[in-house]
Amino acid sequence: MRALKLHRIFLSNKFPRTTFFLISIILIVSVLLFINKINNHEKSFTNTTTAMGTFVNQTISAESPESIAINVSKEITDLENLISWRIKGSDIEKVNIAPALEWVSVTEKTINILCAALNTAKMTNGAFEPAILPVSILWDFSADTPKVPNENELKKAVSNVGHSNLEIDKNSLKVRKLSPLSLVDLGAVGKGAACDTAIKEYEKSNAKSAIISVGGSIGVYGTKKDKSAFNIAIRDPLNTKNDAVSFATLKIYKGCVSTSGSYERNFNVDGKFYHHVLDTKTGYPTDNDLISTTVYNESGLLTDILSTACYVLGKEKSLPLLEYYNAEAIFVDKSKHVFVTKGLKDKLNITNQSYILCDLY
Amino acid sequence: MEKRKLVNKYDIIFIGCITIITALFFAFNNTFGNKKVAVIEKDGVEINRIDLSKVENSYLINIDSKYPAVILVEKNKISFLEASCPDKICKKMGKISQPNQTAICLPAKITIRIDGKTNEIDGITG
Repeated sequence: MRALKLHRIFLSNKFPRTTFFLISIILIVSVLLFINKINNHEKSFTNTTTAMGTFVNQTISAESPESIAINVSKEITDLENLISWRIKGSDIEKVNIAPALEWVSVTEKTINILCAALNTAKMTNGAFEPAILPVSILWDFSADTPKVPNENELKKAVSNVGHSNLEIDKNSLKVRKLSPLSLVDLGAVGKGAACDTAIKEYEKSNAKSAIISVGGSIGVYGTKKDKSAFNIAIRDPLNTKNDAVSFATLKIYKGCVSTSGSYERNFNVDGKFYHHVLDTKTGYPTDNDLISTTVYNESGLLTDILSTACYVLGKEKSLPLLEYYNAEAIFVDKSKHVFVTKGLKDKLNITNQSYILCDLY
Repeated sequence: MEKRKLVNKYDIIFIGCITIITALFFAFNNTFGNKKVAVIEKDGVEINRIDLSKVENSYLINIDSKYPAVILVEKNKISFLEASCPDKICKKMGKISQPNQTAICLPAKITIRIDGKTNEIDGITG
């Protein structure tokens, strides 16, 4: 009969109406506050650091996202210190400065990346090339007044490019080059490998969800609080001024995405356009119909390798390669035609209607 | 004796109004994220957060580091104005103004990014 008594108190004059209103207001506000709290304020943290010659942007939802972010950026810097040819004492620098035929001991991380790169190099007959430094070093796309390298110099450099000059002993973690002029440059794969490093760390530290961008390479992990897919925008390759403008969005729940495009690093000399995706056979920028290739896969390392390889190969020759690696891709050509592999068809949404979705097969 | 009702029509209207006002307040609070906020970080540590839409007069921020940099803050945009780093790539990045855009000075480890959600995009590949 307690309820009945309460009812009486409410109805009696002893219980002023203002108090009743106050209680209702407090109740409503607290319910709304509570809903707001569960819906929107799971602890999320965003920060930006630098590594791999670009920015590293992480957004992490976890119990202590700050410490995860710090760990990840430290691990990526450690990785860079292993695989960047520019860094003194790195594994790759050691390989590059070692005399021909001398075995160089490197870390397991470096071996795994080198193996993956070499594997694709073999499969693509050198369209993707980890030993491209003799050529890539001649092109400085960030110079004040960028220059086209001398033709003869470039020809000579091209003859020194070749993964066949690299030998890897995976079991004893050793690498050697067969020609003294062979030089390794893993610049095309570092960002993707960094995404893998991050995802591994998110997993280890039990993050709820996380997204990392290392330059234009992206890795996603976990489940967002609203359980929706991660929405990844793909940069508009024809808008060279603004890197925040996109032509399409891609919905993914896991894995990595990397894009190679002619708009990334380039310059014009005498009315001619030069970009950083180099044709390993000529030493000059790849000249086909493509302006951007995006690759999706579980492994960031593979997406980075394949986005470069597919750009150089062109879309027809890329298809068997993508199939082999179980990877998906989006190709954009100069006439704004967009070609997408089967697995991404219903995940891609073209947001700039001047781009036309075409049949790939 | 007339029986007093616990709530009458006006009470319901009154409570309804309060509910709507509070709901609106939260909705407004949530769309607050759409402001254009520039976040400046050095080596991953946030050192400045500026609402660019509220900047009336442009001003400069000096950032001390191995390579000190000067950042120019203007209404709705932000950029590296001067940099003592060797490559000056940060200066060439120009003015950034859109959410998800980033300008960085690699040697100085200074980054500027624009926060704010656009069309619920989580990241940009390119």
